[in-house]
Amino acid sequence: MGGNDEAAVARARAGDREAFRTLVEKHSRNVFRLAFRMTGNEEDAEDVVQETFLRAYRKMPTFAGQSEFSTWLHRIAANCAVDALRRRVARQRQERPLEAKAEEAVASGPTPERALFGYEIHEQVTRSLDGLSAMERAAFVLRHFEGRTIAEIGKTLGVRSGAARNCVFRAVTKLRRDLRQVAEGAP
Amino acid sequence: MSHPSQEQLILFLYEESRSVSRHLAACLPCRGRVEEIQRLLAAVEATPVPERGEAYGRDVWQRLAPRLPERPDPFWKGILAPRLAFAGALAAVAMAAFLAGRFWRGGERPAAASPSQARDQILLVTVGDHLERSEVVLIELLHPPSREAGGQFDHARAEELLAANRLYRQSASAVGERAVSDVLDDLERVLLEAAHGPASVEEVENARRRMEAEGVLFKIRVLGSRVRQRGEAMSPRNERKRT
Repeated sequence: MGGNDEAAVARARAGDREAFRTLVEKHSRNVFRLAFRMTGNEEDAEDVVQETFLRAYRKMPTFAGQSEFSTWLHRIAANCAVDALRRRVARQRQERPLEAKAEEAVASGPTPERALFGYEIHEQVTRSLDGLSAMERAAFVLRHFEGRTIAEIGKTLGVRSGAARNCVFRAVTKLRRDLRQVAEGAP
Repeated sequence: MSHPSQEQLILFLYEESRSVSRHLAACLPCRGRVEEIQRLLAAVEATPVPERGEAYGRDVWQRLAPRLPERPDPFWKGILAPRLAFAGALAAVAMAAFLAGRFWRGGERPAAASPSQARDQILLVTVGDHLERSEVVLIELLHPPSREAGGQFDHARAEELLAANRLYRQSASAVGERAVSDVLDDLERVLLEAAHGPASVEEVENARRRMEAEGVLFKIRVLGSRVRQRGEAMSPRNERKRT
């Protein structure tokens, strides 16, 4: 267990709140970063951070120390984020069909050059990420930003490796399609 | 020269493949496609994450501390939980059947959150989750991963979903929710094929055609959205916002 977490984890497992506080203060920023990548939204990310540490505290006694504490924590965060995303994706589908979003993206798209290299790419990327399903976005973020293996992603998300691989593939394919569409559709 | 598929090129960025690697060494157009995907991923990676300062951890703790239980869950809970999972699943199904009438019919809810509302919300999340997992399986059935890329259709998962789907369909049917049970019935037939086959390429094609003709995927997306929306509407966060 790296990063001097071992002592704090041992005490936190025994119910020492001060030890858990140390872990919260140390890992909050990284958990927020992952939560934001997965949700793309600060408010949701903050909720995910809170829920992650709440679940982690409850589960502390079951943490066997077979992996890094940060890895275990990120696994919990990923699941909290998936829950948050599922709720939000459902809401978005209901409120605004994806087709309408795609049309809107094309209509408001920047020029091809700027689409790929300009600052507006961030907005387009965000919109495109929002169009992914919860599982696709989670798998993509875990693979691309967290560097998890396909097997680890499957374990984290509770699906088989084949399904995890498929989610990553579909995410990249959709991003590619969406961002290309923006570039080609722009004046 | 046969070129790698888009799927192979994308997965190559994540998993080493000697055959793709050899092909790229000799094929300029495919190298260009890989570079294009890499540029796309770099653009996604460059999307900024809002900064959180040094004091962020303390802020998180201040908001978290009042919500923490006195002590973590006891150790035995974690040990017994997996062993009780099956029994728990059965209990959940029984509860689903019990609550089914209220769930499917919806209707007015009391203003204050109650234990039964909490149970309903859990059930909505469970059904929503079932529909989303089914959607993943159906998409895989429509677009199976190539064997070359190491992918294979997950029959066992389809079988698990099939068993759960039967129970949800029976619950919906028992309380006279015909529209819901019809969608679940359509889904069940596809899951049945997905779980026990298909054995040949022709059967795969037949399954796909039927699924597309019946619009099963669209139907479960719509139903899933409605179920999740109701679950969301019942969440404590939204309750707070309404009050």
